[in-house]
Amino acid sequence: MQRSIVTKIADLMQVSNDAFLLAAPFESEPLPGQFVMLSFGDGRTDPFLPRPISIFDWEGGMLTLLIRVVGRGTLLMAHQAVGMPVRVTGPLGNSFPDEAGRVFFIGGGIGIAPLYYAAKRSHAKNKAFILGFRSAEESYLTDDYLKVADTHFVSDDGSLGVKLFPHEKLDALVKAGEKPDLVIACGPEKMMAAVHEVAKKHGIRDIHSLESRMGCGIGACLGCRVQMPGASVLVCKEGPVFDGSIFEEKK
Amino acid sequence: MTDLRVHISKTTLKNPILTASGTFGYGPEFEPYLDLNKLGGFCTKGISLEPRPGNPGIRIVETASGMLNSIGLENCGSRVFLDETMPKIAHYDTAIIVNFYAYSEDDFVKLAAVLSENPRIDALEMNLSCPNVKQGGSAFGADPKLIESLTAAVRKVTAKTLIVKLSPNVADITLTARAAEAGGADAVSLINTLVGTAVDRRTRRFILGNKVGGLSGPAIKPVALRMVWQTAKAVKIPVIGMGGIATLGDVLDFLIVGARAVQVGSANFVDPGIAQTLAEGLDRYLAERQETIDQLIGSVQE
Repeated sequence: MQRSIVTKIADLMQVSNDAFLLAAPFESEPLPGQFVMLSFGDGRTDPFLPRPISIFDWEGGMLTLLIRVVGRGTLLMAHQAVGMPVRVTGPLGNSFPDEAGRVFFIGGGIGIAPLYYAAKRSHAKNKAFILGFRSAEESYLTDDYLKVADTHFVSDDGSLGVKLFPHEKLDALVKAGEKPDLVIACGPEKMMAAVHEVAKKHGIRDIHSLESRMGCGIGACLGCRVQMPGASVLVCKEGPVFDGSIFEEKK
Repeated sequence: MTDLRVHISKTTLKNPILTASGTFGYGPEFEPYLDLNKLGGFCTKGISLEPRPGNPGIRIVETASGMLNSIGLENCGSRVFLDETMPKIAHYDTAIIVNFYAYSEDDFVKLAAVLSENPRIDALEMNLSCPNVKQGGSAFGADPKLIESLTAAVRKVTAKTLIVKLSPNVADITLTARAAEAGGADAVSLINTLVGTAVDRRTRRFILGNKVGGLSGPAIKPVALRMVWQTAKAVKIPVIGMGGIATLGDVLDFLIVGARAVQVGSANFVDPGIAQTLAEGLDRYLAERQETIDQLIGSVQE
């Protein structure tokens, strides 16, 4: 059930230079791939708008969000403390498909956030992460992901895992005989487009989670519409999860 | 429960809390978060004769205690609205106010006539003030003569309660308000958003795809409150006030300076249940003070 409530921060933990985990009680159980709108719950009007945040985990009524500091709003949120009120609206949007066979969860940077819960809930017989970071120093939560599934780390400088881009790792795994039935990707748009190219080449179904600026998250403001190569989409309502064909020019 | 009813011409609102066009979708989007039947009414997303895709590029940006938007009046068009959307919202026990706009007098008239055929629609809100469409509303929104003739032309084809939504991007809003009154409007609503912009100093580009957008949110409340106060003194028809309403205190302020009803706008994005919270808060406030809504409205001491 969707709801909008003021809840209190139960845990706040910095996991890297610019990323933190925020946990708060939230009863509605989300589906993997859904997101929430998060704002300050103390009545302040600056920052004004809520931020769309993907769901890192949900367990027994406790919602955990993995947030990267990208601007003033997320910086101020990172400086909150346990016990401070936050408003959470959700869970919102559509969800990742489940698949019984082999599934790869491919994330780049903060795009890894929704993949933890997705993999945890996945019924795939065989699941693995491909997680890309700039460097070992800028990586986070690597042990947590390892607990959920086999994890292939890649990094821009080779300081973590191998020096490859996530889509190159996917290609290598397929060529090594580990062709998945489904890939679920979230990260920079360029990364997702590259993953799509590889998936398409090998005839693999690929699903992606898009990001957009949002005002409301519930389809009211129409602020999050983005023009993708394949279609113009309202990310909050029609997504955030889309088929890889969205990266292909519409003919 | 206090009697919170207010009258906008022949339309009776069960309470003065409305939601503003463009911030409340077509209504059903908010069903998980509030009981629409507890609102005085809601204004739909602005409807045009034909569907419109809206503006490309980035459409919203946060500003200090507010936001800029350049959605560009994306909407499903009058045909889809009447045939598909209206049946989904007709059952709500609250006033349905359809916001509409066009690019020419002919189209304003055509659209008002088509919408007026639907018996469930309680009122029409004519948008003369969207800052986000090039040939659009705001071309009409600053010229009192045009407002009067356009209002008169629309008045001829509709028996519905006709509200003219005014732009704050004018030198003297009482002139445009009086023009709407002279043209036969049943009420005026104000303020629409203030035109603003934001730049990305790193890339030295405008943030919004449309370069400029409409500023809304608590940042604009003092400007809105002043304009509503001036307008309420200048016209005899009811004034519907809006601009940055986010708390019960804001609602009270607008009513005190003379607004007959208020519209909650971008605060719906922050708390999608806020309109009901405000209606209930107003009820409690008046009950505690044993004051009537009519005593509250326009009670500012000058």
